[in-house]
Amino acid sequence: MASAVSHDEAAKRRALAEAAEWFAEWQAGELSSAQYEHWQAWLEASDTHRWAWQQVEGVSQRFTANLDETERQTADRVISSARQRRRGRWHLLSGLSTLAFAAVLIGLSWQWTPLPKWVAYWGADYRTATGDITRIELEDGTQVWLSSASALDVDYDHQRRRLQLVAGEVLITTGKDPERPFYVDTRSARLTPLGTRFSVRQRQTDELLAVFEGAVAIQTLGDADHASQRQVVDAGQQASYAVNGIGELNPADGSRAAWANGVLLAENMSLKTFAAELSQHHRGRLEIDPAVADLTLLGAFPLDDLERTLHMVETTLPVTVRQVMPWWIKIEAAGSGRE
Amino acid sequence: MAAAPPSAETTAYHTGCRDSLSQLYHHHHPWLQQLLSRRLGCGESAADLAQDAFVRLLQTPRHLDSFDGARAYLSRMAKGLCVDHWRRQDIERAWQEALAARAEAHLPSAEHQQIVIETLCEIDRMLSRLPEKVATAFLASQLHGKPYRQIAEELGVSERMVKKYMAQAMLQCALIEAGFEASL
Repeated sequence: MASAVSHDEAAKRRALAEAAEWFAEWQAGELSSAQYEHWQAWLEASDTHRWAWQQVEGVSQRFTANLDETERQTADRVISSARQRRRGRWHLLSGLSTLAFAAVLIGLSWQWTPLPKWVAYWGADYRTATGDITRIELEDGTQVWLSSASALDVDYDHQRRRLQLVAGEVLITTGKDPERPFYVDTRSARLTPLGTRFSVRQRQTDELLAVFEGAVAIQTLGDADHASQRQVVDAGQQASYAVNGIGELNPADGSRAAWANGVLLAENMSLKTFAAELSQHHRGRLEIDPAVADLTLLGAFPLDDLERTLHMVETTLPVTVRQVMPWWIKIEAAGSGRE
Repeated sequence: MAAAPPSAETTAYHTGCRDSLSQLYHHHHPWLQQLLSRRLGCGESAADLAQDAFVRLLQTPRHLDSFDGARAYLSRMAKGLCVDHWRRQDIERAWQEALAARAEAHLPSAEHQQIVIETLCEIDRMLSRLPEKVATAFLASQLHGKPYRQIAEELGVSERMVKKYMAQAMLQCALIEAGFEASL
């Protein structure tokens, strides 16, 4: 019986496709009398065809039945603005179409991200698209800024407040709750902050913790060959760490907090690092000519305005910014290239 | 905190049967509501949506053959409910913005506005899988009755392409109308 049903469905789908073609003819304007007769013959040929045409009419009804003239004028603007908003948020993606879409994005993004991380990213409670920075306020007053292309899970219950950084970078100002301990789990450590403001970022092979107020304890997970390590990082300090250990303490880099205000802060930052930072916030490829990669920059650059930022770079350094493709920008030594 | 899965004989559900549905409710409702609440960041909407989920299961009965199977099904359903919730929010906001430009005297009644918003959500739902140009062409033709030539000019494509877009969009909508495909 199952095959009979699916056979019926296949015939119906075929009829719908034909009805849609006929609909496109109708909408084009007046049908010629020959076309009209052809359409009539198609309609009368079977019940399935008539059923299919009813579906088409039903769809048309939906678009117009409840809307008056002015509402129709506004309707497409409302829908296109809703579609745009949604595209910015990425939440529509599920199933196979998601994988196809994600594959395209991975292909275009500056750093290739392995698939399992993406799977976790889609499932996370909060996530941001490339170019977006989001502020989240949690129930205990904790404030979280989620940087571009980042994902975070929030797992609060009556005993503990736990955040899990799934991808990217967060800046956190913790709220007060003496009853429930607060910690952040990352790929390779558990961070326990003590009333603070700090940021943590996942990189290719390690993670970077920068503390701006209070202090944060890192407890690495360790593995078969390395024991777990603990280190308290105080305000004004930063440290990189991985599963196998913790690096030395350095002065905290202001740029690890500045992005929350939409600013890329460069304090004698090499152009190479600058481009890598900028790539975190924009899709597409940003390539630096090795000849200029070590030039250094000083200043505050808008993260959400790529054009302006690149123009600022062009006026500060002896470089030329060239758009090779719509999604591919190259920074090279001034005077090189085209001519 | 998570309750251990109940014994095997109690974990198949048929949601058309009230007893079985109430068992499903008992086993999964708190979990579902928490899941929704985390995704939406709003407890109140989560409570509403969780109720919606069970109402739908009662209206369109399903056989769920295990505890895990039920969770998997509910979490897919939760995703769909969130998408719908966000859609409504987006449409409502865009509609309010559009209304703000209108004179006070021409504002439609609240009741009528609800009908309009519902209609717009439905249209948006139907078009959600379609590429931008296809959706734009279809709206221009359906809502404004624009001729293909004008749509072609506005989109910078040929008239033949517009006709293709129309057929593609109508097929997608008709498949949803006929219940062969779910909207996103």
